[in-house]
Amino acid sequence: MSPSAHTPGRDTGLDGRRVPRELHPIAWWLWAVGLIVAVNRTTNPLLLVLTLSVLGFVVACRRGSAPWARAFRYYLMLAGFVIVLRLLFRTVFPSGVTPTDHILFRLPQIPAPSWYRGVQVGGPVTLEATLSATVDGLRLGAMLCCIGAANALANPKRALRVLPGALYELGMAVAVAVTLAPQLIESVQRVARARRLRGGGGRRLRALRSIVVPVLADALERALMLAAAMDSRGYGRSGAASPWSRRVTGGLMLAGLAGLCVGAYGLLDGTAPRVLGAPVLLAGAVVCCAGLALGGRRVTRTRYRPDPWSGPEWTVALCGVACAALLYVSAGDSAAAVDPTFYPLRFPPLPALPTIAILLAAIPAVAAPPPIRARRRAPAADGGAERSTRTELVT
Amino acid sequence: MSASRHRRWKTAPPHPRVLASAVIVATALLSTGAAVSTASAAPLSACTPTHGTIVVVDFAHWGGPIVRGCGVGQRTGYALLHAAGFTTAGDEHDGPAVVCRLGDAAFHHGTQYPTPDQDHCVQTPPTTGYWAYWVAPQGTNHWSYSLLGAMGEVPKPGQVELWIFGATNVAGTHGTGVPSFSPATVRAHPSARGHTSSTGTTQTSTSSSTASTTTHTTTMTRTTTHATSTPTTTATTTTHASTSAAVHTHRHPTHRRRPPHRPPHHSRRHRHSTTDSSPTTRAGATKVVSARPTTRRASSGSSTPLIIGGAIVLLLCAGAGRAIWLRRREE
Repeated sequence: MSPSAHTPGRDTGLDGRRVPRELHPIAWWLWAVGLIVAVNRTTNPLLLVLTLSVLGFVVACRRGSAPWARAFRYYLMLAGFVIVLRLLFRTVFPSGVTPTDHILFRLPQIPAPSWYRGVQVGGPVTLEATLSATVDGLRLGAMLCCIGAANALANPKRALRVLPGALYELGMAVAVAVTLAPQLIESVQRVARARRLRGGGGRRLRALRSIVVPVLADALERALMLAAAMDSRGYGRSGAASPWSRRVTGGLMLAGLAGLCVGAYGLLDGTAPRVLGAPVLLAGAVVCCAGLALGGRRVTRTRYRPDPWSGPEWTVALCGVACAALLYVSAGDSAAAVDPTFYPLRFPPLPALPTIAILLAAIPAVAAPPPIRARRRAPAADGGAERSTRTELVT
Repeated sequence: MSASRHRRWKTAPPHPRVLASAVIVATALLSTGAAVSTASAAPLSACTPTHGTIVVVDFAHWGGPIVRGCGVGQRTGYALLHAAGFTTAGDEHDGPAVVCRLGDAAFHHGTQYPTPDQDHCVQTPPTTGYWAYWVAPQGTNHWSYSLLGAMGEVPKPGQVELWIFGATNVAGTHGTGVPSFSPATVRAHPSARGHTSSTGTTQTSTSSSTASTTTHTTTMTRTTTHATSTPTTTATTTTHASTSAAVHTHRHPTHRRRPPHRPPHHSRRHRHSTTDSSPTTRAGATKVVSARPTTRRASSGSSTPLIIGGAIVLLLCAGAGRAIWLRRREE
């Protein structure tokens, strides 16, 4: 973490290699959101698998060694679960078989009474239905993996800084909650190691007690320390806000959130009056923003070490935006290729422009600066990140 | 097929390579040749008031005609559509049972509507624009909304089925998806057997079975008024003998003749009002044509895109593997 790493335009060190640093978290999130938008537009299995491999490539090349950086594989598992679930439902509740379908096997069909004829349980399972269910699940799975990639690549503690002032305290609490699990695991491992070093044997129950008690004590101690640290930095103080302004802020936020809820409902429900849709949603958003701005005025923050937004950040964010934009623009021309169907059964096409759009999203694997690896972690990454989060001063 | 295959599908891990190879195996299994599906449609003359089922598709949303087909002894409404010569496409989420697109050779060379740029047919079509499915059993003269759908409805002899694109409310009482003409106007004719279009291109008569001999069907319209939703149909010169005569079904101009590509709007018209349904203007005339079998050559497509896509995916995975290997070595 040399100071030169933070000066824009000086990304290479003296030895000609790029200086490892963390990319601005917002850049990664913009990139991931761009990919989500792109995935949402297509049902082409080739494009979806391509997206997954692009995500895997970028994460493999640019993830750090922090605990959250290992999240991607769990998101991959989640995606697999979604696909399996979707397949299972489509298999058990087939929606109908056309004469030209290719039947893989038959499940025992449960006869339904005539008044329940709309839903069929069991019956023939076709290759077409299996494939389209897989693709349907793959689409949701790819979206989940986009979020997983952003979680693995972006530092959540640093992402906290871009929250509006009014949400800072809430975000701080979320960050503390998010880091709880890794800290507990680390604590358990430390206590277990100490126990082993002392030659502590014992059977299961005894061993469990000798681990749980120190871990709980450790957690309590840590919580008290954290509370003291946050209190000494003015966390939770209302500052110069008068009771009246606090009440107005609360009212504005409540009204805005209610507006957002009603607006979302009105927008999604086709039979609701038009006025309840976009206008209410917009009004709710405006009121929410006003509340946030008013609430943010009482929280003044200073930055100890600001995150730079330089060339690599621009590149990464633009790659995501360009991916979504190019896919949307090109989808109009190749609608059948972007949303291919398995009825009748046929090979999925690979439209050129959408493919290029998704490959654009792989550029960050090279364009982003190399991540801070585990070897340098001990003094810099962990302590540094911890310290810089706490130096968000509230005056 | 064995249970082992089943298990393999169900436990397929989400790894891109495995998925890709699964798709390759699956498609290679069964698409060795290009399948040619030829729909041999039953002629319209095969349907009589007591025999066969008439299926009608209304393309008025795109300024198209009402296409009328016939099927005998079909087991589902879906099979009836195909037997009559129509082509359908389901959506990605529900499969073929939910009819998302409909096409026939009699309208725009068999182009299926809505087209992919109007509806992606990925999710279940919304109530603001979908193919509503109506049936009218023999002896009735009002449309009832099908509660079972294309794969659940069993066509009965003498029944008329209607597919109309538009919007309906949840109860199915309002909206552009509610038919504006009566079942009688599209029913099979008693003496139609034998002389109706063998070529399938001629426009057929729209006269009802009850008013077959009348020249002016104003009376027919009146009689159907009670039962139908909004009968606006008035056939002007209806003689079943002259099948080549252009018989126009006049419709409510404000609701029907919309330019294509416009999203359907919710029209709040009264369902049973006779004043609303009286033929005011004759501007909007919709042709009724016979369905023509659509011969679709279903090719399995080329496997080249699959190979190229697989190669790119493999390349990316190899890059990821190399990055992981380098990291392991470093640590």
